[in-house]
Amino acid sequence: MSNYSFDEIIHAPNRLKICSFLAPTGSVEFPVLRDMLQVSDSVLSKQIKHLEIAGYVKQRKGSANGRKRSWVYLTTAGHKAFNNHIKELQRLIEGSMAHDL
Amino acid sequence: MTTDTDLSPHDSIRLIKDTKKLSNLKAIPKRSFYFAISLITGLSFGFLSNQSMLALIPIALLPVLVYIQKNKKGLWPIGFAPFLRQGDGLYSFNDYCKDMLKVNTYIHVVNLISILIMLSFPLLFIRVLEFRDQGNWWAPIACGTIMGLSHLIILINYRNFQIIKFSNNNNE
Repeated sequence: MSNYSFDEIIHAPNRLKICSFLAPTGSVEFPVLRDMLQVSDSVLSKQIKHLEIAGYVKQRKGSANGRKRSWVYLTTAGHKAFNNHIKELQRLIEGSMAHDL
Repeated sequence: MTTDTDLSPHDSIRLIKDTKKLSNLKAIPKRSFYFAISLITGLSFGFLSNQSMLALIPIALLPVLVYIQKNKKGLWPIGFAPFLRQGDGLYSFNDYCKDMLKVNTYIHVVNLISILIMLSFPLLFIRVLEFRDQGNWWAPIACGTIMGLSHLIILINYRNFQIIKFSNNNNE
């Protein structure tokens, strides 16, 4: 029995992309994330909200050069859930390969 | 297993890898950033080998520079983000070795020499001071320049390596 868990909150494509993008880079500014996903502000906000409710992501508001900015970052729980999700995916792949053989 | 998406585990892993590569590629700063970092290194080593407290000024400038870069690009420059954890098992030691082999051997040699020069500073520090006290006023300047150039070489090689590492599609 695996210790890793398949996380349905993370697994949705846009949310998977958000977590993958945030994992290696720490915090990312909202427009950078929006441009990467190629979605509207509202769609991105909705996806982030889902992750925020699950406790995987947090937003930090601030201002620089006279304009408001919002930074998004993965929480410790988010890192853990994301890593567990990857490990579970890899376990599923290995399982399917063994099954094919 | 049922999910609200059609992504198979294979597709998911591919999506994660591609996005991570994109994320890391975006986080690689321009050469000018690394030039500024090595300038800071050169100045701080120069002042240090002159036994001057002015060395604290360039050292204090380092986080400012990183902060400016972070605000300019919208994400942390690669290698400069604090408290960052990566270990997700997607980039294995074998992949690392493969990427290292793609870098020309002479670059590894130059990099190694630069690292040795930088690490030798604590051993040569007293010598530089003695040399300066013998009337060679330029010794700290030379030391700072050598350290700055060595660091620039290491950083530029690091940048090139990161580009190679995240641009290729062979780490499957």
